[in-house]
Amino acid sequence: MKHLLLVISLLLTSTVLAESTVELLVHTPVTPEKAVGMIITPQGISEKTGVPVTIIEPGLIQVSVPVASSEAKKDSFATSITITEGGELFFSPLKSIADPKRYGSHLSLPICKNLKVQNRTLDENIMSNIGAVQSLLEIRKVRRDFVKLELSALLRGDFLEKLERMETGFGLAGATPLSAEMNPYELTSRLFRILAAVRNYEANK
Amino acid sequence: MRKQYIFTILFKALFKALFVASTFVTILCGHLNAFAAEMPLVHKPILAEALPLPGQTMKLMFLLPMTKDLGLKARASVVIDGEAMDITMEGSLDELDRTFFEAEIRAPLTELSYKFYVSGSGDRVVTTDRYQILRSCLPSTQLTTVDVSEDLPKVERARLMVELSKGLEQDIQAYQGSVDILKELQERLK
Repeated sequence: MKHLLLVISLLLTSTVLAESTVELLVHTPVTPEKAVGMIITPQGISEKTGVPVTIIEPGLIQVSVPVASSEAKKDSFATSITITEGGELFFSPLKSIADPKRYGSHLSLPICKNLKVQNRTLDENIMSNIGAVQSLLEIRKVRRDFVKLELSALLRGDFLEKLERMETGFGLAGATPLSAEMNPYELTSRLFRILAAVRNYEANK
Repeated sequence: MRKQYIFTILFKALFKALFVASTFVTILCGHLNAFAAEMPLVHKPILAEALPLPGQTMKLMFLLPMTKDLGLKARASVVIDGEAMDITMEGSLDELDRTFFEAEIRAPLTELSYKFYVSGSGDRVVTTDRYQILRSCLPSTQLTTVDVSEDLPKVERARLMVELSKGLEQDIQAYQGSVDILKELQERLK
């Protein structure tokens, strides 16, 4: 009986203390000297020092932060601070730690495949409208160039400077300065954060 | 006169039944929050499959079926791809005069989580669970390179042109997303 209780208590302790690792990606222009993991819960913040850092590619590193199963709750997040030799700090984005199945970085997700429907009827259809397909391609190329031009015209001069000041002011600045040459997906994400902050400011003033 | 009276009673009964049924269906389809017994909050969680392409506009919304109070305030604590933001939601009445809140956000690359807060009804703040959505695969954010080789067989070439046209349309939408936000920012920062 005594042994059984001992085994049960050992099992319970190991379950409570069991650790998984959450992977956080950080964009840094230089390789950091060290990183500190942080677990943010509604009860408070706990620090994890000496967490491993892996270089994925130049400018992109992965910080692996250990998470105890007792910390993996809803409304709990993991983040990290990486420190460079020059004393610069870089924060990783927040990652929810509610579900250990989602601890991997997005790099562990499979790439979405385009469903290509290929059959004879469709091929015949395309072939009989090849002129229209060619025109569509040309029109869309022009439309893309045009909207890119519109973006470049908007994102420049005083307005760009103002946005950069706001981004820094709201604590949202990214690793690279805002520019019309950025990938539009990344640019939209950064601009939306500024817009959300402005909308909030206006709603609460 | 009697016929008209019966018709009025029947019409009222039908209207009430419709209202109760619609509320019931909304609650069943959505998610009735356990924390908010006094002020039920109905939200239909967003599914990963329903997420639009990264950066595209999407809406967060919920319904307060037991009130028509527009003095209430709601906000959403949103984390898009690890970036936390607080979003003020706009309240209005739906077609059945029930308070309805919505906010426009941008679709994530991979991960979105959000939680709603409703205040303004006494000292209480109604909160929901945190909803979490993770895409099952990573969508491409690379811009389309238009390169159609003349050496390809005719059918292959035609198929490639169709694929490239689709890719170009996605690029246009991605750039348009940035342009739309910039225009709104320009307007708000005048």
